[in-house]
Amino acid sequence: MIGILIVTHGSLADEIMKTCFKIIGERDTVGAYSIQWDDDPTLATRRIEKLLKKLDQGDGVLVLTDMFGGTPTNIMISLSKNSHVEIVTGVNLPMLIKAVTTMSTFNDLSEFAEKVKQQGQKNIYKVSDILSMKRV
Amino acid sequence: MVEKRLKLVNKLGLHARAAAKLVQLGETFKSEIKISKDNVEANGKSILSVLLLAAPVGTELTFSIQGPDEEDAMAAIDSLINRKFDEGE
Repeated sequence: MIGILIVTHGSLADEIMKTCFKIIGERDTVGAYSIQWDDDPTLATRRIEKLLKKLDQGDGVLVLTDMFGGTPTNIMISLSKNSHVEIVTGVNLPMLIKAVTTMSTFNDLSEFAEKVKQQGQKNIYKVSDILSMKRV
Repeated sequence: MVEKRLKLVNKLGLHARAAAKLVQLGETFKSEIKISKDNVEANGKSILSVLLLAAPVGTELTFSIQGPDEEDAMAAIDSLINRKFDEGE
């Protein structure tokens, strides 16, 4: 079983996880770590490392971060050297819902990460395009 | 294959939590479930696909179900929609 960890600036990680659980129900192999603005990055790294160990059930952990180049992603890159993770940036709600509802059907972490990235990108719409498609 | 038009009667229509309930119910059946509205067709076992239907209260959706338990699946879905997704309004 693959685990999922969301890591972001501010409180986004916890809030997006709660929102996802509200919609599809709670899951225990999904975790969140929100790095607050005044948190010590070294301490945050140690805590995230513990959380990663807890979430890794043998097939690795998919890490969803907010933005490439930011501290949450940078911390995860540093931790990736010693743990089985794939990192996908730009977490959004459809991406997370897709990831959480399909995580049990994948064994290969890299393949899962690729699929989740594609779904995250695919589910961004310009709403007027959708509405005009429906009117045809 | 069984096909039926069902009207959404709950206040919020097919919003995120309702779509999740519909999909979770659909997943308990072996049959393939397709939902269509206007010229858009959704996979009834994928929440993101179902949400694309953008269906508010009063919308009529066409359910096409095919497989070994199609009748039971249709009855269960019909019941969920008419119970207003157990949302109370």
